[in-house]
Amino acid sequence: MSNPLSAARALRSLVLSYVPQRVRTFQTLLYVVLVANAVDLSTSWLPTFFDTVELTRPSRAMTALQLTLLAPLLWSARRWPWRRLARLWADLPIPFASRAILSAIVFMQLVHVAFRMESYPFSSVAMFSNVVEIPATGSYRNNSYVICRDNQVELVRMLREANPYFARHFDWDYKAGWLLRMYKGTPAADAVMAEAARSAGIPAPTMATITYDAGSGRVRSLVPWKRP
Amino acid sequence: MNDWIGARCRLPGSALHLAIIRIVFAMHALTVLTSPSLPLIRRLSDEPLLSTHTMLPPALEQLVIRRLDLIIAVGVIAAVFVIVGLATRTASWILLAVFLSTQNYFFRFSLFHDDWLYFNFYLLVLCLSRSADRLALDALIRPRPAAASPAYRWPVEVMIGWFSLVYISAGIAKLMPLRKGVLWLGGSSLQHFAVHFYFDSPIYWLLGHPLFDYSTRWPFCVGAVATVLIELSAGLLLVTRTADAWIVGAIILLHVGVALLGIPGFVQISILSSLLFLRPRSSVTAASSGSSGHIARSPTRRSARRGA
Repeated sequence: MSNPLSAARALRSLVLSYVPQRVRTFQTLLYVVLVANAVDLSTSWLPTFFDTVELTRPSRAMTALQLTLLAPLLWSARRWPWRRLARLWADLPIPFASRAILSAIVFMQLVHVAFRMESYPFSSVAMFSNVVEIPATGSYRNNSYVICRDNQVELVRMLREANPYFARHFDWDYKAGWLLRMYKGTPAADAVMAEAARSAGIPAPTMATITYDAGSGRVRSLVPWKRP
Repeated sequence: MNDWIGARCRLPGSALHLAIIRIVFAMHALTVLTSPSLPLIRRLSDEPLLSTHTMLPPALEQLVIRRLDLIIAVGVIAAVFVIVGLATRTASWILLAVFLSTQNYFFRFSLFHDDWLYFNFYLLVLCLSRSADRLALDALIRPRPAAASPAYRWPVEVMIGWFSLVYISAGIAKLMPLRKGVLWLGGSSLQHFAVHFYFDSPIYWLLGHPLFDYSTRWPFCVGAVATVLIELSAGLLLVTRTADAWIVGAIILLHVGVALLGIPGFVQISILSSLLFLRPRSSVTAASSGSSGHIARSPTRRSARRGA
């Protein structure tokens, strides 16, 4: 580096090799931001029942900004390699009819994901993606069937009874267990439970509300339902 | 980009691999169709849940409700035909139609997303592919000339693509909209999930108490971030399969964790889906010699091991 000229040349080549790469990285990052913005907008578009917590609505200024950011994304779509993509699609070794059917289904699935919609057989796969509120009291309430006998109270959990390794009384699969968990406490589910209990030779389960500690799981109270 | 899904579709496939997938998936469809849950729904409710929507026409829904036993019987027969590979093409379409309609019935009354999310598409791909060229009565009764080897590969790769898409969708659904995703990553939803299903969790059945203090938030925050990372990592399966064992293993572990917290059903689906990731060793020479290929470890891995 004794020669200032060669040092300047080295610096110049370094800058030239470095800057375009940084620019490309910046462009990629910018592109990710623009796509994320578009998906954020589309997933906010339709009302959904998923969330039990009311999400804050973005301000008008924010929405305007997000809509504005769609413009460069749409503008850049001009330069997307549409022809190359079409050629790649056409070159797939899948018969045309099959390719068309499968592509249409994948497209529909993408639309459902983008708009956070669900219409069987398409789904945004949003189960357990909802935002919920944790009770401030630190305790949870849950309804459950219980069996009372010999001064003992036994919780009858549907999903436990649906598990072949842990079931104590019944012989269900997890789908049936899920259904009975879902419809528990309804007259129809009570009748099914009573019938199953009779077959298993145990007293008919009754409904109760359990209150338990969220941290330790310790049961605080168990209140049987009063049926009219 | 030589390993992206489109390029992989052109690689040689294995008729045996596809046949095994056909048999195992049809056996799974058989267990789903014979589940006691479908007749149980009729006893529990008459009206679908208001929060569910379907694209299937109401007339078809009503037909399933009225003729459920008959439809299940037809589906069971079709599944057996697909398993043994008899009249496979026709039986596959019938099985798909029955599976699609009965799972619609199950979803509309249970709001449970399990088998249908994966197997509607898997069964459709089997309908469109030559899955009965091996391990099938059809191949014995009416032997057909072996197809070009990619004909056995693209169905597998397309199913892998769908598997990947399901998990990418799940990851996006957790993160988007962003203002919701930030809250979700905080772990409160996972915490609620663990506490809400506490009495349904094998952890409680085994230990009688939680694994740790469930009122502590940070483990759930870590779990939420890990969940999203695992789900989004499935996107790599679209561009390369070099890490598929790690990704699929992580997904299975994720479902084991979910099952331990109280929601079963996905472990077996992910294990069955992992069958797709067996690496077929079927070369052009195998195809030209009349053999339809067989399953083995990846030549790439083997050569890598030799090299080591």
